[in-house]
Amino acid sequence: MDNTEILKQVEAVFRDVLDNEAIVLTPATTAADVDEWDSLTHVELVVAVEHRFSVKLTSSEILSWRNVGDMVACLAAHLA
Amino acid sequence: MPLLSLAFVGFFAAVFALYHMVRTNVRAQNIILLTASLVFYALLDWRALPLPVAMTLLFYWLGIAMGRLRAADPRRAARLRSLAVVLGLLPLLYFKYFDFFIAEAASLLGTGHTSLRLIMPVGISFFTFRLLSYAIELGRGTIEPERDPVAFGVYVCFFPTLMAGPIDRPQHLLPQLAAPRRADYAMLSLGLKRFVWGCFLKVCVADPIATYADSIIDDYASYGSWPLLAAALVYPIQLYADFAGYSHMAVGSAQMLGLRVAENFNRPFMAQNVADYWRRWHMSLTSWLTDYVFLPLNIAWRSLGRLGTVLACLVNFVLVGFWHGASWTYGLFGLYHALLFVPLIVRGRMSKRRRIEWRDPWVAPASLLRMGGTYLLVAVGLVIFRSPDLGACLGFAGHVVAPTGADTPLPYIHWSLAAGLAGATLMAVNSWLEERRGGTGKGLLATRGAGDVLLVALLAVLALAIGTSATQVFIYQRF
Repeated sequence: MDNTEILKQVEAVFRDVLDNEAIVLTPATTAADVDEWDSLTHVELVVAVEHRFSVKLTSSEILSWRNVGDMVACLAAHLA
Repeated sequence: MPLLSLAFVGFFAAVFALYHMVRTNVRAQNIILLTASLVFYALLDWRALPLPVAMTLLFYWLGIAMGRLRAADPRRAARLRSLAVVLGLLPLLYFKYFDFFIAEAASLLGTGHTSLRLIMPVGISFFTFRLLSYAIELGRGTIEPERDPVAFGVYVCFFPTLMAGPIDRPQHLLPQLAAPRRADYAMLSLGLKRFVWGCFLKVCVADPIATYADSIIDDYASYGSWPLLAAALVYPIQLYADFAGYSHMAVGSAQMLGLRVAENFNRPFMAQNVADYWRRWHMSLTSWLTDYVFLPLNIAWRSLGRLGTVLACLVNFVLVGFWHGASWTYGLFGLYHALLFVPLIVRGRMSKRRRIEWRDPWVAPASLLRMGGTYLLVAVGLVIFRSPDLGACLGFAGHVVAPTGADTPLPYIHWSLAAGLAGATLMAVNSWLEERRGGTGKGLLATRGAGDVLLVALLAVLALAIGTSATQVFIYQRF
């Protein structure tokens, strides 16, 4: 799975968890760009992303993400 | 030299003039800021100056070392990060909490003890959190080590925010210190207006209300239920005007120097519930703890679902409480707020999603009721916060319910309280306008040209006319 496909699936997870079909993600998107994305929904998103891709991420991996691009790269490394 | 003094105005004017004279030279600007910050600290407490200087040098070196190790040996870099966090916390734990631990341990063991009577260095809670933030972000790989020791020194010790915050983050302030800061009218005028607005909040709202609230709360046993309730109800306004007043002065001073530092407040009394309130109150501290305590714990405990969130929230808020000082009342204050969060977490009403539904909410009766209810919950919490010990806290509550002893008569009109509440009305109008127009500075301070001059003159005259020698130190300077 390439990064574009991962981004597409992550976007679907965001739309589902945050209940907003208008969300459009790019690698540069941060929590500041998405109204519903805060410290609480962040954890819901992590759990949903882990479930969708069947991966178990470490705390240090999750905490090092600065944007969606970092999240996608981290998932790509797990799926490789 | 307090921020609210003519001495500070003179000091700032000299720094401002020098700083903007060398406006194209980043290095010279940073040297001026660092020198001013060290002089400012020395004037506040020259005996404690070696501590921030030593901590700044230590973390500068640790940062460089972590940067080197990060690619070559990530495990050693992570260990160095942990060491930096421990070293950063040690002085804070020693100066702020050591006496408390000793006293509590001695009380538990039933032995005697001698207090060290440690004097807390000025601003230690604030510069420590800036240093920790730098080490943690380096460890996460979200920033690069700062190679310029002068810029790093300014980040840690920047004089307008040195005494009581806001607590800035490295990824926010350090990039600004790498570029020249030019005098820009919009920023200069807004900075000046925020500085005088801060003076106004402190002198014309916080201090007049304090003369009423402090005298009653400190001597609660002499009063009946109504004065006690009135004091408890106005204390949140006093505390807000005091701390927001300081914060406006600090942020405004920074803006006049071309720097945008973190904000501390976003109209907290317009909050619709307690979670919303904490997103608007002392934001630079709460966002710090969210990023470095709540989020890591919530992620680590995510398999527990909402229970994990509740536990992370509990730890987070007890730390919020104890951050204010070594007292069980601060811990209880934090626990009280954590417990208020539990139903919000369980019902899913804590997240930003709800806030979006509340946009433009303050005209609806239901939303006014929510605002009022949140204010009352906050006021109860601040009774705990304001009490010197648990006995006083329970005593105050007991006297509200069943007053005993002499009921000291109060004058029919308390002029000082009335003046403070008149100032608070102006503060409320400003908050209402800012909430409507979507941002700090977009309310009463949104003047232009001649309006800027008039507003600054009016606020300065009011502050000078009402301000007396009785002007009190800022409450958050103690923390």
